[in-house]
Amino acid sequence: MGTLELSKNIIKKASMGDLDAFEKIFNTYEQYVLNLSSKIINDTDKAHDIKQEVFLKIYKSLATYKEEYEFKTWISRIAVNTALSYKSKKDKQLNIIENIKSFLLPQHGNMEETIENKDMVQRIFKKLPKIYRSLLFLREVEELPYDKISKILNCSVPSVKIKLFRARKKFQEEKEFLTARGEK
Amino acid sequence: MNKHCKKDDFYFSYLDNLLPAKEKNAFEEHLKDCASCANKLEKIKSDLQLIKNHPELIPKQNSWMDLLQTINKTKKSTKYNYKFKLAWGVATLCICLFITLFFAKSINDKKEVALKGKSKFSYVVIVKNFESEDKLEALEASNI
Repeated sequence: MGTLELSKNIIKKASMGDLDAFEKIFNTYEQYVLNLSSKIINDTDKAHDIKQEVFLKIYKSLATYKEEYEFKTWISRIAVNTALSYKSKKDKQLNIIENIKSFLLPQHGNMEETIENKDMVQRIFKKLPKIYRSLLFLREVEELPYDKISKILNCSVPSVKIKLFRARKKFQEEKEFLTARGEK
Repeated sequence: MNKHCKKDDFYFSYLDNLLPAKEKNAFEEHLKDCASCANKLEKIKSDLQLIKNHPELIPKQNSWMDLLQTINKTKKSTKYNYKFKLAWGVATLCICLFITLFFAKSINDKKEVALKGKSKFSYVVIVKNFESEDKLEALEASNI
C-alpha cells in the first residue's frame, strides 16, 4: 500500500490549522487507520472510536511533525500506540470479567467461543498478544519492510524479526488448533 | 508428521526475501525435489494469506463530520481552559501581592513601634540621668 502519499504542502497547511487540508489527510488515511486499529484491538465497534481518537491526536500534534519522517510511519505510530494503550485498559477489565466467569461457571468455559460466530482470523487474533497483532498487520497486510515496522513500534530490527517469527508461529499454531477442534 | 529439511525461521526469511541470492536459489532447487518442504511452504503462505484476505472494515458515514465536531469542542475547551488558567493566574498573583504588601506593612509598623519605643526608653533614661545629676548637685550643695 504505497499509494497513501500526500504533498508536503497539504501537511504543512493542516499543521497550521487548515481544516480542508486536514480533511484530505483524513480521507487518505481513514481506511488505513481503521484497519490497523481493528486488527490490534480485534473489536470492530471500538475500532471506529479508536480511529476518531487517532485523528484527533494527529490534529493536535501535527505541529510537532518533522518532515524527515515519513508521514505514514508517523501516523502508524500514533495509531499503534493509541490502539495498544486502549487495549491494555480494556484487557484489565476483561481479565477481571473472565476471572469471575471462570470462577462462577467453570463447566461452561468454552461456551462463549462456540456461541460466537466469528471468523477464523478474528478468533485466532483474539488469542494473540496485541503486539503480535500489530506486527502481523503491518507485515502481512501492509507489507511494510522491517525497518519501517521497527520505527513504528519503536524497537530494533532484530527485535521485529524475532517477534514477527513468534507471531507467525503462534498464528499458525492457533489456526491448527482451531482447525483440529473444528474437525472433531 | 513430516520431517522438514529447514527450520521454520528459514521459511519466513525466504518469504520475506531476506535470504542471500545463492541460498535462495539453492532452496528453490531443493523445493523441486522435496515435497515435504514445498508443502510446508505452501501451508505457511496460505496461513499468512488468511490475514491479508481478511475483509476490511468500512468506515462509518459522516465520520469526518463527527471528527470535526470533536475538534471544535476541543478547541472551545482549550480556549476556556486558557481563559480559566489566565484568570486563575491573575487571581493568584493578586493574592500573593496582597499577602506580601500586608506582611511588609505589618513589619514596617512593628519597626516603627520598636523605634518609637526605643526613643521613648532612651528619653526616659536620659531624663532619669538628668534627674539623678540634679539630685547629686542638690546633695552636694546641701553638704556645703
